[in-house]
Amino acid sequence: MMVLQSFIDGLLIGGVYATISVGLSLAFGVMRIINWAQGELLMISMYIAYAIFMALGVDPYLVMVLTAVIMFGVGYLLQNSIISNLLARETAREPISVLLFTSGLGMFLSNGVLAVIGANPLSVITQYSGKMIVIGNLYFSLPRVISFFIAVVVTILLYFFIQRSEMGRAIRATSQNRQVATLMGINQKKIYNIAFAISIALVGMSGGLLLPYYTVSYSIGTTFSFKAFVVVVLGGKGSILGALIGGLIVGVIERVGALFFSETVAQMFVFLIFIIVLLFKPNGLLGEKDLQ
Amino acid sequence: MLKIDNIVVNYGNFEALHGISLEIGDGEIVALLGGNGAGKTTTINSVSGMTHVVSGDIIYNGQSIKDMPSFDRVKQGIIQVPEGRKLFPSMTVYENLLVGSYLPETRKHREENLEMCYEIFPKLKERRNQLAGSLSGGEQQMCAISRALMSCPKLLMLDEPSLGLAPVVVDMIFDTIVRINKLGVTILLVEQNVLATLDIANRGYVIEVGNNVMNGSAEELLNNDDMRKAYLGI
Repeated sequence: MMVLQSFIDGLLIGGVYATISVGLSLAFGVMRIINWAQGELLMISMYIAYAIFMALGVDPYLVMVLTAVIMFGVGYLLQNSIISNLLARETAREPISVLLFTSGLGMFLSNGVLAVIGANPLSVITQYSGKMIVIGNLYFSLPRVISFFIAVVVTILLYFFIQRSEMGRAIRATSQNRQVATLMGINQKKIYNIAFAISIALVGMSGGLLLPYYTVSYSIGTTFSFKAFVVVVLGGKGSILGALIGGLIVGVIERVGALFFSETVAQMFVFLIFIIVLLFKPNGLLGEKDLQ
Repeated sequence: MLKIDNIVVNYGNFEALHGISLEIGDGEIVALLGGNGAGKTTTINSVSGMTHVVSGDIIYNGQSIKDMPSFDRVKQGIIQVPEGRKLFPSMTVYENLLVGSYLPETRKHREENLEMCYEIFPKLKERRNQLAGSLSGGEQQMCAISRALMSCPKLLMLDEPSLGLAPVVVDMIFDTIVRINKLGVTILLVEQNVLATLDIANRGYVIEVGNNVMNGSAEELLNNDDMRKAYLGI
């Protein structure tokens, strides 16, 4: 029973890992950008969600939508004004300068928050906090269940958007061959702007989902960045459904592992699986070469 | 329709084109011939906007397009079939064709264009749900040409469509090019296959290491002694 409880708890938190990672995977799949600031942008999203919740006092899931919209704009601006200029100067397919930029941005954001807001962790109590769903002997925290379902639904919607929509096809075409995509009349910069904005909007959404049950502080970014990287490599770089499955796997390993060992040891298992996958299936579980 | 006026293109410190000029009239098939490294691809990439033109000008329908972004040139009907087909390998044939009609203007004609492509290349209809990366060379070329047709071309530039294909497939592709031309599409055909190309072209230009060396009607070029020695080995 305990194992089942932990297993499902793992799936529930894994859903949020998935949405953070899907964004990372999308940016990598389309632009070959490794965004080291993904976790810090999540941390910023949680502060934004916190501020909106405190100021407006509206339903936390409305706050989530607002945060996602704001972060969409942040992502768009970051790519349109900074990253695109760095990319224009890069000739390599996997741009190093952007990697350096995002890792610098991550440090700037976490230290900026430390300097301006301070080190005190913040958390909110919402109308969902502490509510439980009881099934037999199993107890599930309501905000976690909600966040799981929103995360899974949004990830699947994104998958269909990328597969079926006109814009999604243009995004995939650009990821497979950006020069040739241009020959089809596709504006590469616009596609990059949108892909990166979606990537960061997903982070904003994840911040909103975490707010009702997770304590935010300036330093949580790196934890989530590392987890997101493990998830992306596990699921397959550029694979949206892979990131979803990878997220769920990492969540389950963490929770079930923590049942038998300490939380820290459970983290070690996550990285152990990570190394094993890298050794035997370097493209990840659902990984192919291109965005899918 | 198109006038390339003395264009110079650099790759880093290396000057690839030293001043290429070329003119194409409405409805013509014009051949651009030359060996490897002559600058043929660079020339049509300049027309597509994929390379930066240092000096000279490119006039399309009376308007300079030298500084127009490449995706806007597609809107004007300047379409390129790149060398080596360059399909989107992880997409199906059908999806490749849909990407060809990505622009809203061409999306309106999607159904009719799709039917036309399937009519010209019935093979593609059979293979429409297959991944483009799994097609044979000839089928890939058919798909690449169809993808270009989906973009409603006015000027269609084909970069070595015969490359790596069996002779019988080459014949079929060249017949198709004539057929597309008869639909009112102006063609700029970049080729190393001189005989087959001059067989269907009205006129031709020969370039060598980034310079114009010769031009004339297909017949003149075929009967030119230098031309016969250099490219036909006779």
